[in-house]
Amino acid sequence: MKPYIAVLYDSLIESVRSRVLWILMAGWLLILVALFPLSLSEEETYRVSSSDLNNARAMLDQLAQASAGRGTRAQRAVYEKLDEEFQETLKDRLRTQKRIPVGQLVSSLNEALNQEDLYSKEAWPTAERREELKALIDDPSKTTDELQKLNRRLVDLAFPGSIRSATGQATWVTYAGMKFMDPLPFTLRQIRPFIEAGLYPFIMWLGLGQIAMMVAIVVTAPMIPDMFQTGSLHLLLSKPLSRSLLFLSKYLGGCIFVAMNVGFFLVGLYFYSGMQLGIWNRGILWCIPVFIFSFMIFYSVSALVGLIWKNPIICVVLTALFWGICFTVGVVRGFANEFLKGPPTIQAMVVAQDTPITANQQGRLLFWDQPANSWKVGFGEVNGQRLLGPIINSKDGLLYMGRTQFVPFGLGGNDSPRLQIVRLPELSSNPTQAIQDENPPSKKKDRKLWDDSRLDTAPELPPGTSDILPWKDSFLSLTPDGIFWFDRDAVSKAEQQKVSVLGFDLKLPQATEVHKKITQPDWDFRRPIAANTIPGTDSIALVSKGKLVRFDFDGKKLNAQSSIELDLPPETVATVVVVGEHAIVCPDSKTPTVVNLQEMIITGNLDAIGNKTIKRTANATDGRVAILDTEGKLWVIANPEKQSESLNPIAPNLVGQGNISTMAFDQEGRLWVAHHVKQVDVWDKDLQRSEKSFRPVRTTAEWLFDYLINPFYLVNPKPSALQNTIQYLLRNPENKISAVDRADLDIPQVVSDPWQPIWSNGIFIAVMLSASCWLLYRQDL
Amino acid sequence: MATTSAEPLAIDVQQLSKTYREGLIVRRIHPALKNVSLEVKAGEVFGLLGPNGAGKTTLIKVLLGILHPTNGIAQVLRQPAGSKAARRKIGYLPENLVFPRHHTGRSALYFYGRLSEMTDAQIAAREQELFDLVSLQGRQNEAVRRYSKGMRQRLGLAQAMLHDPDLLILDEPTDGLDPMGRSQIRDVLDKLKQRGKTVFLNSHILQEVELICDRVAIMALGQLRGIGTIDELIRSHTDDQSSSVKLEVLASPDRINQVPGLPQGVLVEEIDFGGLGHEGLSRIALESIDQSGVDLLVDILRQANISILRIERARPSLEQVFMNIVGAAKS
Repeated sequence: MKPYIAVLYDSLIESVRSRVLWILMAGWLLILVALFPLSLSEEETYRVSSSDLNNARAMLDQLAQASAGRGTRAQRAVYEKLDEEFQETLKDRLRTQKRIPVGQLVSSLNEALNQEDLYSKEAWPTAERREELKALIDDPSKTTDELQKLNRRLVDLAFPGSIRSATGQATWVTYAGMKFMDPLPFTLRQIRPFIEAGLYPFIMWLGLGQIAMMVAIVVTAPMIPDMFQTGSLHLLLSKPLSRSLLFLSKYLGGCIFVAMNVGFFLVGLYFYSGMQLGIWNRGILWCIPVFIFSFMIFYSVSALVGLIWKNPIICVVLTALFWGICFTVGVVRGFANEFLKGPPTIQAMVVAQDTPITANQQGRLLFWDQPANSWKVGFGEVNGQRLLGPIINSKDGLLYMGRTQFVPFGLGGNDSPRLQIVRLPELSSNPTQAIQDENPPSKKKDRKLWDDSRLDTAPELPPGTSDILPWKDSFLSLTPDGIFWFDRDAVSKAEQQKVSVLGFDLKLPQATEVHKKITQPDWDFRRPIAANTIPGTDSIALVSKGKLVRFDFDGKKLNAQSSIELDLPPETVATVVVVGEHAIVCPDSKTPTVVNLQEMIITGNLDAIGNKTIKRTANATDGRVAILDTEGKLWVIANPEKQSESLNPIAPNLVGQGNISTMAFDQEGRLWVAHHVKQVDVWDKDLQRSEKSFRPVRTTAEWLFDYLINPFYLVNPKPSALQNTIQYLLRNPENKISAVDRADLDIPQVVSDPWQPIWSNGIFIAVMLSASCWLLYRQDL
Repeated sequence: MATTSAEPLAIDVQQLSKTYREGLIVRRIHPALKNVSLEVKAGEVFGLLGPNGAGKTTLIKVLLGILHPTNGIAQVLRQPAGSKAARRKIGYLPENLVFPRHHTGRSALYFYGRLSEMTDAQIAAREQELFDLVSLQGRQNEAVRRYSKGMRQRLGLAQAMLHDPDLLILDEPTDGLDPMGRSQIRDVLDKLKQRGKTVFLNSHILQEVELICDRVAIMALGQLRGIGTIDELIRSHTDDQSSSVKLEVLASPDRINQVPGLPQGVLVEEIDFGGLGHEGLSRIALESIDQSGVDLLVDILRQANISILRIERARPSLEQVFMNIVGAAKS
């Protein structure tokens, strides 16, 4: 046997005979045994859960109004079926504005779902237009489940916007077969990526990356110093084995202890995941070598310290210190990145009078300040909000945008974004003046901006608005309850009717008064919804529930003209953009599909783009479109001269290609491209020449970050970066869902090479081990 | 000092020096070996003697490649000292051997056997014989942490012999052993010698070295002070003039004192048989007398018709040689 294999084998024997190993193994076993009964079960249910309520307060208000005979017929019908005690509570609320627990509302609604006579044609006159409801209404022998389904659909219709349309699917968390908590509003397919990319990495990071790692460092710390005991080392060195090999074998032998622990736990987790959750993810097993590698980083420090001081306590202390330094450098860098690096990445852009106006990740509107060569925040420092739009109406110089609290994956409670209208000043003459004027020192908190000529706070957007779309000199709001058109004239009328008492406006116009629903009552779509206008027409192409629908405008309403099933799961998030007569449907992480809108047939796929997630599109006035994937790559697709020609996406050679965050076409057909966080370049129509560049000046803080903090971070070993590798390994490409809603596409994608931490930390390990071997060779022992 | 012969050499050290350098800022220099030259012939049992700090362990470490020499050449079994080829043929028993705590006697033997590039089958073929040889039979499956010092030492000897090396370097092999254990070790060394193995023995126990070793080297203060067979060392490192002679004669002290011509400094005493007395039996002792003086004394006593019962000439011990050499080195 080769001597170094003998050392490795001896380390294995030493680990197996270690009591600490068995204590840890017992600990892992206990965790796995405790975890094993935890499972998920998916059921078809139409019961109401608290997470279904978008706006519980509004719903309670509507029910309270119904108790007084006000509100719609449907709302009154639902109220009639609530239990008497809750009806009294609602009546009280009307008088006293008493708070009612959401749980009480949910429980009462669920009782109402079992009432056989909830439906009446008078209360829901349009219900029979929907095929699904008509079948249920006409069925005289409905099962309990079917009755619940019908009633839930009726409740959804009665309270649009306040309650989320039921998907019929709910997932329960069960322990030993017992359900607990409210059902999760996701399917198992949707939950799986969260488990694989979120929950498992977290469990592994905490259990293995932190706790087990610290235990392993303490347990293995004496292994190298023990080797130096007089009478032990000299005998080893007298054998035909080089010092370096002896050291490296001992070092790898120390890793065996960790390998056994990590292997045991992760193999257990793999079987738990497969047997209880149905997630057979081999990535879990691939994480075993990654965690061993992670330990090797720390152990290389411990081993070198052991060689120098030959004391296990110093090994543990200095290794913990190294850990602390790595952690601190990471935190400082993260902090600096957030607060020193300046405004976060640009996510949306419009062009007005040759000046870019952008929205960033924080939901701030930024104007380019040419004299200062920097971006200036417009209309207050807003953080953590999602900005819908902005959309610019070049005719009247109005810029529309919506602001909403953003919670990822559709988990937000209040889905009613505020609408803001900006009257753009003469940007080209003095772009910053307008913004400065907006924030006078004596700014009032509840300022009435209707009177302001610069920033108007319009009423809320329709509940559940997920996106706004430019349309006919105004815009459309896409909601699960239909498409609403923003009627500027109605706003003007409402302004005239407004009553002022003691200088205060008593009532703002209701949302319904300015947002006109222009879809038919049989509208039956739910989030995620994506749409794009068909160039040269008032028609739109819409993707939802796995199908593409063409809506034509008849002067009053948008009518579904034709549709095609796209062989996509209904919850798929997709983007759609129209080039001439072709709609390009870009499902999340799938190759874009081309559909001929005239014939409503699929004509092919854009294989040149491949399986990408398209997060943003832009239409040019000449018919071209630009599409941008979540990895920052931009393609431009020209409108083919002949309908028979296939679409040919081209990735132009642009500055920042691969790091592009958004783009826009201006009226002249020039392409404005935002890249590398906050730089913008303007490209001529042929995309050959950059006509203008916007490069914000670097602030002192940015210099500090770029030339001090970042370089130090780069050379510092980064064991925590291995979390990216683990997430990559656990993410099953077949089950990858990076988004549950279209808003999720704007979540900044951390585009990082999953193997980069391996080689960067590998270099660190190699340096440490080489230093150790050199030291050992030089040492007189 | 070095021998010059055509016999194959197991160890060949020429002008070997080793200087330790300590301290990062203030460098301290400590010479441990100074121009040491020695040759150990194949098949002999060679003893290395010296007081603490003489450089014996340093020399062994250089031979094993644990230390890099500052100057000089060291060859072991015709290979450069410390080379893998040389280490393959060496069995080493260090002083104060410590076995890893997780081992049993048997697993330790297997571990060190594998380190010596042996297969498990080869180890299995040798293990019983060796456990018998070092009297650890029946104890081989016990954890080594429960072993006494003597048992560990014997296990250490077993591992040193396991791969049947050509050269055994034993550092204090009998340290911690009882008289029976020492005797067993001596038997083992005898057997090794009979099988033609070379043994390089470092020991403090001079009597043991005197009993076992063919040749001995004595080191002091990093230098080789003497090398040769024990007789050669005594001859070369003791003064004949200082030898003494004792005679037992059949005569009373009074009669002897009356013999004319007795040399100066003669001590005469009556031999006492436990208080019983035996008139006419005496012991004559004379220090610093050479052979001609002894002859003259015998002649005088015989002319006086005194019967000589016994003549004993006192021979210097290795210990005396050792003390002389070390004392001379220190002075």
